[in-house]
Amino acid sequence: MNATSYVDDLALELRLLDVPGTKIGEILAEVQAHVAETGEDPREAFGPVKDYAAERARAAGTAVGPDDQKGSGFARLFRGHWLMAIGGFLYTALAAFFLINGVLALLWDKTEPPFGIPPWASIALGVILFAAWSVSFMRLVKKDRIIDPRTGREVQWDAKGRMKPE
Amino acid sequence: MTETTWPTSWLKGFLELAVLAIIAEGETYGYEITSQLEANGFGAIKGGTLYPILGRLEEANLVDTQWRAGDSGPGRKYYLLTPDGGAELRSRAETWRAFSTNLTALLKDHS
Repeated sequence: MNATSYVDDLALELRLLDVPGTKIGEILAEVQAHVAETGEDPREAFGPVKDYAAERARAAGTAVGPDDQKGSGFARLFRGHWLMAIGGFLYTALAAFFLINGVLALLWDKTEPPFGIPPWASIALGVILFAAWSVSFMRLVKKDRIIDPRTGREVQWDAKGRMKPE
Repeated sequence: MTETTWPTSWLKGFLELAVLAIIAEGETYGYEITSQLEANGFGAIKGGTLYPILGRLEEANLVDTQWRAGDSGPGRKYYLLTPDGGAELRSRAETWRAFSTNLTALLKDHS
């Protein structure tokens, strides 16, 4: 395993364990600096990603339960938030329903607007529902950036989960 | 008996004190600390063992840290003892001396 993929996996694991972003940045930089200096395999020097992440999370004061590291990353992301995920899906579907049907009724006379309300009201309702959703979503997603302590800049990953070079 | 591997639980308990003592010698960084530990007979300590200890010392404000660019590559994190760290080291060293004196006395007929 090369240093880059170890560091990428470690970043994801620390994120899933809710370690603060600045702390994650420190931990990643330590691994990079150490393996660059020693030429060691990071997995050999630091042990399995999940074990090392759990140890550092505990040292940083974050509780790690025995089941916290089980399951896929996707499942863990939503763990404890399933109701919110399903509710969010239904809510979005409802907003889309009003918006699309309103637009269709406006453009195409043969379509009935939902529940007999005027097309513009249906569109307005859809837009309001979407707007309310994005406001509460932005509040839920509080920004906690991973900062590289060596540069003071935010560390960024590409869509494949690979760290972008400086 | 420098080549023996020490019982894991002993390292768990006392490596932190050894690391604190090495940092007390002067500003140093991760790889140099592992070399120092090895030179002092503690064996080859892995990064996965050392850095969590350094993290705890940092968290407890016993050491100050600073990232500095190295000659090449991704820089080094330097560790320096704080006044709190110095006080902690003196107090733990004293406790250790008392503890080891007691244990040595108890073991003197068995080695």
